[in-house]
Formats: sequence, C-alpha cells, structure tokens
Amino acid sequence: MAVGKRKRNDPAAAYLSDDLVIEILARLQERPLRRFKCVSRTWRDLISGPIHRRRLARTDAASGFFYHACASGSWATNLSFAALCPPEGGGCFDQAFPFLPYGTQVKLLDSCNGLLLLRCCHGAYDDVAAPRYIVCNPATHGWAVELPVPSPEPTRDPDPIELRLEEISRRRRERPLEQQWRQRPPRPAALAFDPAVSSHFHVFELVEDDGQHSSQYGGCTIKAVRIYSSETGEWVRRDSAWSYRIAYAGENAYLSSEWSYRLAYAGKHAYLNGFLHLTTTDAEKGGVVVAAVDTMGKTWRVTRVCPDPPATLGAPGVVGQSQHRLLYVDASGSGNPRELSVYALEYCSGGGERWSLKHRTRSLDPSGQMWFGKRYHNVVAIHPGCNVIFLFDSGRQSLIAYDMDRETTRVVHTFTDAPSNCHFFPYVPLYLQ
Amino acid sequence: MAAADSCDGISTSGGGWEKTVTLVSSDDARFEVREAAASLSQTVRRMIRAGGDGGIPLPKVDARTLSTVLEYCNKHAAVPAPAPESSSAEAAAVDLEWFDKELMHVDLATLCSLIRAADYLEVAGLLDLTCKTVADMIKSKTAEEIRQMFGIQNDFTPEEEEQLSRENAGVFE
Repeated sequence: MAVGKRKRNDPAAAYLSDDLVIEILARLQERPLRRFKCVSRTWRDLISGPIHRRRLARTDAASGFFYHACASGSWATNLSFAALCPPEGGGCFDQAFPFLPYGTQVKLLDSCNGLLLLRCCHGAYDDVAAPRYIVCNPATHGWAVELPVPSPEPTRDPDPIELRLEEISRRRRERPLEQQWRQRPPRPAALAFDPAVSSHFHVFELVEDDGQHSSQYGGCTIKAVRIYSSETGEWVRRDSAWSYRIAYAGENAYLSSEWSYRLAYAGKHAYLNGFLHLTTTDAEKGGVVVAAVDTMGKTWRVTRVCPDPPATLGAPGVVGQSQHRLLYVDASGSGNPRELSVYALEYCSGGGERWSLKHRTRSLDPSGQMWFGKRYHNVVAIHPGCNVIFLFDSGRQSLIAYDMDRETTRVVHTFTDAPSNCHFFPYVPLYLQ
Repeated sequence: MAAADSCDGISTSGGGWEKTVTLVSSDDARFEVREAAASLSQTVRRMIRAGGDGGIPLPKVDARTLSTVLEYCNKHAAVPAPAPESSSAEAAAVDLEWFDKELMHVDLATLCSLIRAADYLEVAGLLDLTCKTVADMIKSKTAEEIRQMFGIQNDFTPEEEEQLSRENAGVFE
C-alpha cells in the first residue's frame, strides 16, 4: 500500500502491506468494502481485483446493464449501457465503447463476471455466417480475444461415424467454411468465467437438433455442446448426456417457428461453481428444468424447478447467481395478478440438488398497490450481491429493482432509447492487469 | 530436537518442569518465555528447531509489541486443548474471550504493529483477533476517514472519484 501524507499521530505506525490490508478487508462485509473502493487506487484494485476475490465479500453488485437499443427496426442493433446510478449520471462508459472491435457490427451474447461475449457480424444479414466470437473486458479496453471459428456440425445424415467424417471432409472441399455456416442459423452461446477460480474462460455453444425434434414448447432440443477453453485455445464437442430431452428455448419459446434468431439469452443461463446452468423446458413433458453442464462437458445434471409441470407452457424464468447461490425466478404463474416466485438451488446431503422456494409475492410494494404483472413487468436479472431482482417495465420503459427483504421496489433506470428486447446483461467491472 | 542451545533455562511453573526460550526484540530487550507459549509462533518454533545461541532474534518486532504478543501467547498456551464440554472448559473459553477483548483495547497504531508482528511471527490466532478488531473499528467509517487513519493519499482524479462514489453508492445502501 502506498502511504501518502503522514498524519499527525503516527506516521509509519498504521502502515500495513497489501497482504495485511487484505487480511482486514477479508473480515468486512460487502457494504464497507464497496465504500472502501474509493479510498485509493491501491485499495480499489485490492478489492475489485481478481486475486483476492475469493477471500473478500462480493462488492461487485451489478453496476449496470448492457442492452441492445433498437436502431430503426433493423437487425443491426446498437449496444447501450444503463448504469445503476442516479439518472443524471452519464454512465460508466464512453458510449462509443472503445473496447468493441472496429468496423463490425456486434451482438452481445452474454456477460459473465466482467467479461462480455460478442458475436461479430459484417453486415445486417450476416446472422447466419460463421460465428466470430470475441470475448472482451470493457474495463480494460485493450483486452479482447477472438476465438477460432468452430468447425461446422455434420449435417442431418445419421451415418456411421466414418462415413460422417468422410462426408464432412467432402462437403468441406465443396464449400468454403463460411458458406457452410450460411446454411444454418447461429447457435446460442454462453460465457463461463470466474476470476476467483481461474483467469481462463470458457465459451459454450449449444448444438441443437436440426429442427425435426422441436417440441410443442418451442425451441429445438439440444444434442450437444461445444466448449471453447481459453487455456487450450480449442473447441471440443460433447454429446448431451442430460436425462431429459432439453429444449433451450429462452426467449424464443414463442418465436421458434421462424427461427428469427435472437442470440441474446440474457438471464436464461448462469455460470456458477464450474457449471453452466440453463433454464430449459423438458421437451417431452414440459415444465421448467434447469440443466447444468461443467466446463469439461463431463458432468451433466438436470433439476426440475417445480415438481409438477405447470398447466401453462411455462416459458423458462430467469436464472442467476446471487451471493454464491443459484436462484431461479419464476414469473410464469397463472392467475391475475401473476406471482413472482424465487427458488434457490440447494445441495442435499446425499449429493443431490433440489430447488426450494425462497420467496413468493404478488405485490411489489408494501402498500399493495403495485401488483406484479399488472404492468408489463418482465424479470430480467438477479442482483449478484443482495436479495434484489430486476424487472423491466415496458410500459414505463424503466428498470425496476425489487428488494425481496423489504418488499419494496424502486426505479433504477429509465430508458430514453428503447431496448430492442428484454435482454439485459448485468455487468460488473473487472480490473484485470 | 536440537533445541538445547536456544533454551536458556529451565523453570518450574504449576508444579511441572518447563523449558523456556529467550526471545530478543529489535531493540534488544530479552524475554524469557515458556517454549510452549513461544511455539504458538510458527516462526519461533522453526527457529527453536534450527537452534542458535543467546536467544532468538526477532529483528522485526519491538519490545513493546513483543510483550503484548507474548502476553497473548502465554495466556493461550496455558489453556488446555479443547476438552469435552465441561463447565470448566466453558469457563476457560469465556475467560479467554474476555482476555482477548481486554488485550485489544489499544489504539490503531498499536493494533497495526500487532498485526505486522502476528504476521511475521505467524501467530494465526492473534492475526485473526487483531484483523477482526481493526475490521470492526473501520467498518462504519467513510473512505476519507480511512485515508486519515491509515495515512493514505487519495490518488484518484476528481472525475474518477465522482464516478466511483456513484458506482459504489449502491442501489440499496
């Protein structure tokens, strides 16, 4: 710790090395830590930096949301940032986002612990080209990694493996890679990164069935995942070992017929403890299932959120990490007004997992005047650091924070540029060296 | 164990024979301590094993701080290892807690030198106790108060500071 001006009583007396400052900070709660980020650059870096994250209480309460603002109806949507601060605050970023690659359209696919996963498009109709993924850290402008293009999936033929490989190579010879990608829409992708565990990240790409098996619940079933590791620099493909036929529908649940792709699935998956968790529907029986797969693609788990499949189609709710737990927010409850239910994933002694109900409400404020769902409320995210859920009120074009403990709501941001959809990517800065 | 060289004497206490060691502070004050107490410090324990003449030098700890550290060690080494839940064990725990509390009734500068000493001497219990105490002391302070307490210069630009306080004001502070 750089000690500046000496104060009157004891100059060197209160000097502590960074390691010892951490010893003290490790014994503090989140709120003082957040306050102490303002002490000095050194303290800020100690608190926000990746090295000590594991020891310190989490201060990285969502400091804002990235979203795509509508740009005159075209697909080329503009990236925007809504900072969770007073309305007069101009946000934390140069709104030109210097961290973005120059000269290309980008779509934000995911955010995870301070990193963003972007997909680059060269033109408005380039949705179906080979995915060029970029992972970047907006807090450190120069930091960005472009992933190698994954090789395309073999197409429909259920040939034996040898034949299939032959087929692939034949098709490769016939068509350039780029063109092969144009045959199919891009896949949903997710980012997995936890600086407390590793400085490496993973990108998951969900490989869906070709469409024949799409269920009544929308979406296609997932047959495999492809996982990119920044450590190895390679993609690997792993066949799904989920015990249900999983349809990762996300926001597409009701749009799937056209495959009008929206790659953004904010809030529909979360990364925690080495597993990517996806909110999905059980493609046969319906009902919401949270499916998880680890970064090696070795362990596959599924847990039903509600034991009884709901009568409604049940668009998957929002899943997110909060205070080292996985929460699932269900807003699909039937009835008018609707209900907001919050479940937490708990680990049973036998090694199993189950979801238990933590919170249920119809009213969003103590006066009982503000019913959930009465206005056009969409649950968009879960606060990583406290018991707060973010809702988007499309009527008022504002972002609302609902405090589960106090059962109060407050508007945290009002949009001037309409978000193109309800996809908000929580972002907390990460100051990597 | 090659401890004989650093053991300056044998004394009796509580009816048993106990080895003692001599610790020498940075300002050359000598402290004769029971080996069991001194061994709460991993650093000292290693030095006892390594052996040496004329006491164990601890050049990073001054006499005043060392005496407090040793007060802590003496007290904590005297307490028997966690025994079955008897009333006496419980009473001892309460007594120890009270002792710790009293020991921590010092100013920040003293606490910081105790933290440095506990870290250097590797007395895990004392490091935890002192850090907890400082954490309690500072938890409701403002950033400016922290700077004054620890003599830290605010090296943020006004713009950065404003942005930080906005970001960290927290939605539900």
